[in-house]
Amino acid sequence: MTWVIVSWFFQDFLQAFLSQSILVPEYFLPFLLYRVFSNEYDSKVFIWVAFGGGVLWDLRWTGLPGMSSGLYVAIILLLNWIWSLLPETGRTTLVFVLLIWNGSFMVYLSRIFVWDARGYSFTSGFVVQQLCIIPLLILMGVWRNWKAGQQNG
Amino acid sequence: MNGKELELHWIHGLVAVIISLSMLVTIPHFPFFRSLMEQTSRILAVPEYPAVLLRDSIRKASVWVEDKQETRDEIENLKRENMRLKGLLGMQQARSLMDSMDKKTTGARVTFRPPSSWWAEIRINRGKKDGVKVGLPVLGDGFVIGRVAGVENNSSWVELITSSSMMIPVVVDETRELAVIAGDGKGKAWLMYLPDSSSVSRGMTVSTALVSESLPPGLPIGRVNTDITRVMAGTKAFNVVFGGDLSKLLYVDIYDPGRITE
Repeated sequence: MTWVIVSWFFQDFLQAFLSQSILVPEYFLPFLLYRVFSNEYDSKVFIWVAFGGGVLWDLRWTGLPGMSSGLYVAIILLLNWIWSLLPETGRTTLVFVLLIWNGSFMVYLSRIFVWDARGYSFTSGFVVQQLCIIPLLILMGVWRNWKAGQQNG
Repeated sequence: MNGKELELHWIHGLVAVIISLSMLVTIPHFPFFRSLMEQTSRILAVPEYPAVLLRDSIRKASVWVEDKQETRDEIENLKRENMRLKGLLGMQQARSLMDSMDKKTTGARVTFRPPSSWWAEIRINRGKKDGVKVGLPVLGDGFVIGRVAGVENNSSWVELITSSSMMIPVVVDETRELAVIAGDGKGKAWLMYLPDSSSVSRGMTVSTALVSESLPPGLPIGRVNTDITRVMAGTKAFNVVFGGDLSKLLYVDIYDPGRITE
């Protein structure tokens, strides 16, 4: 839970630092999805953590309370459902990482849709944002593999 | 996750989504919405403070660097413009001098240079009928190389600056010290009668002085060549390099400052 809260504050720090000059990468949602997929904790808790984090984000930055929270929760529901459909053997690290990345991607797409943002500068910002999330995804994949190795023995 | 847990998970999720949608539709219309946003910003300003501080520091540093670069560029531009204007001014002055001299000079061809007095005199193809008078300065490449010593109808004799009997009052342009140029009859001339304390040095330019009877002041002669080579009774003498090449005298100009131009 600590990492989830730290990730929200880190995302907020980045947003304040960059002063809305570029799109801030999503770090909060990937951490939430990681926790939900890992099944170590009660997933309902993370539903409400996502809700709370989204409301706080909206009150601070977007001015549309309920948008980010609804988005986060909906994405968690959707991706957790897809994850639950997969057999144990199909839950590889690659699929794990791709699903988490998909979650962030869906947030970016929805923001493009809501703000009707287009053009080269937005596209290039979008690409930079996606590139910034890659190291986090790699770390998550490596961490998951390491933990799985520890459990197996 | 078992079936019951999954069911609860979905219920909680859907409830959260419904609440979110309701908030999205209703809260922005509530009167307390703005104050809620302000309160949230105020509370979160505390953990965001380091980010704001860092951002402002970087911005100030970047502005400072830009300003410094702009100031440097401005200084360079001003220096370039200053040099250009100085050059233009110098060119205008030089052009004005050239125009003035062009109007007052007559070209002449060297017709004879006696080997026995190679460094003393030359004969030119201009004479009385061309308005040549005794004492007029003769220029080579714009520099004084001698003066008219004798005039006939169609020709004149010019005494060269390297002649042993030639002595011309001159001034060192940089220090404004008066001296005398005296030829040695062997192709050289000496800048003489400068005091021991003189600050004249190599590279300084020499031109005709106001105190000369026959030559108008300000005509360039040449440059100081070497440091002290002769010291005589409280004075020093310097070797002078002429601006005009006395080894290749084929054409000269006779300068008449009193010539009336149209």
